[in-house]
Amino acid sequence: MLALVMLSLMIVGVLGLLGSLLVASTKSTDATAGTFVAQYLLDEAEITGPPDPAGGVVEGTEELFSHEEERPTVFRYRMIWTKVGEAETYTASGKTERVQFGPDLFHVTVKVWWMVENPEDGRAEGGGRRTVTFERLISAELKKS
Amino acid sequence: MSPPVRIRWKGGFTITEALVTVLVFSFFLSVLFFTLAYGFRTYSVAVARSDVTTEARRLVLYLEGELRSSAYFSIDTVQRSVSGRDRDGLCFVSMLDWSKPGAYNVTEDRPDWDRYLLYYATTELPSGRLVRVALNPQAPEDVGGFPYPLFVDDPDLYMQEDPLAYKGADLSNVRVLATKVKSFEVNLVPTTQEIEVRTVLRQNGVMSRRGDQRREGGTFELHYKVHPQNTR
Repeated sequence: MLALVMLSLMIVGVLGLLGSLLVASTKSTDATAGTFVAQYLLDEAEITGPPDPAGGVVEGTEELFSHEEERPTVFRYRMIWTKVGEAETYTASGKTERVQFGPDLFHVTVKVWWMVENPEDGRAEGGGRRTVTFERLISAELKKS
Repeated sequence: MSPPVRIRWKGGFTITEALVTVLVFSFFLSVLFFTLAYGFRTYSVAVARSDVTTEARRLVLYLEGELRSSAYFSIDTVQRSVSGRDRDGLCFVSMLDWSKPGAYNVTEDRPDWDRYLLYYATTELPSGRLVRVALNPQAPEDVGGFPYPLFVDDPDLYMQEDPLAYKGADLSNVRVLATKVKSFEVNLVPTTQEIEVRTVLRQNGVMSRRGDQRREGGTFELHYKVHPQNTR
């Protein structure tokens, strides 16, 4: 009887371990996809520029297949543009004189999250961290209207 | 005096006991087999996901980086599909060593391009390979025509099913970057002078339950737009 109980416990333990392995692999691929999305968004931001000359917030979603074949994972994102300085006001490369190489300088933060509704939660039950945050300084040439 | 009574011990089990024992062991064996099958399946899915993620990283490292340092006007794309899945190709100009002296062509005010790169997906089903071919044309063609005139004339000559089949004089090297390409779609975006690349990598797990409509495994989709920085 004791042997049977021990065997049952072992089987339950092994099943739990395998389930965790599956969750870990899902989490890993989602995190990689989330990282790619964040990098892609920042690269795109360098081309599209800020939503407003003063900065602003851009929100959206990107659907990608990151672990299942039939159902894409929805990656939500929020990009915050904060103007660090206008071209005439800041220096660069440690020089004391103004280095006006043209565009304004923005600090851009992009937060990408998936499988959770609220990025502040950041975690899904038993699934670990489900958000990535990237930052970049972007000198953006504002489009002439 | 009566003779001693010999008590005969009856060894063995009743049929009921034997049946119960068999039932109990059958139950535990089936649970054991289920655990084993689940273990194999889970392991194969985890490996499949890891494989496609690794290939995706390799793709980004090569394709995105090399596209970014290229020039938009040098890009030529080939659209093709098999069973509704895109297996496109694209060819663009590149340079082997960006740190070499004289890498910048002062006269023409541009990098001194010295090779073309070709990326294409083969058309095998269910998964094709993503092949990267470096082309280093010799005189008189040399690097100068944009897009690469020989590729534009006959793209099928370069985009062969067997990546090692092409033996042209302009061949520098061939590399297979991914072997689990479900689709590889390339589109030019003329308004922003970007290239949009969408790649789906897929690997099935080695085991799946009988009668399952879908196979478990790893799927990874890459989607990005690249603006070649030497476009002017």
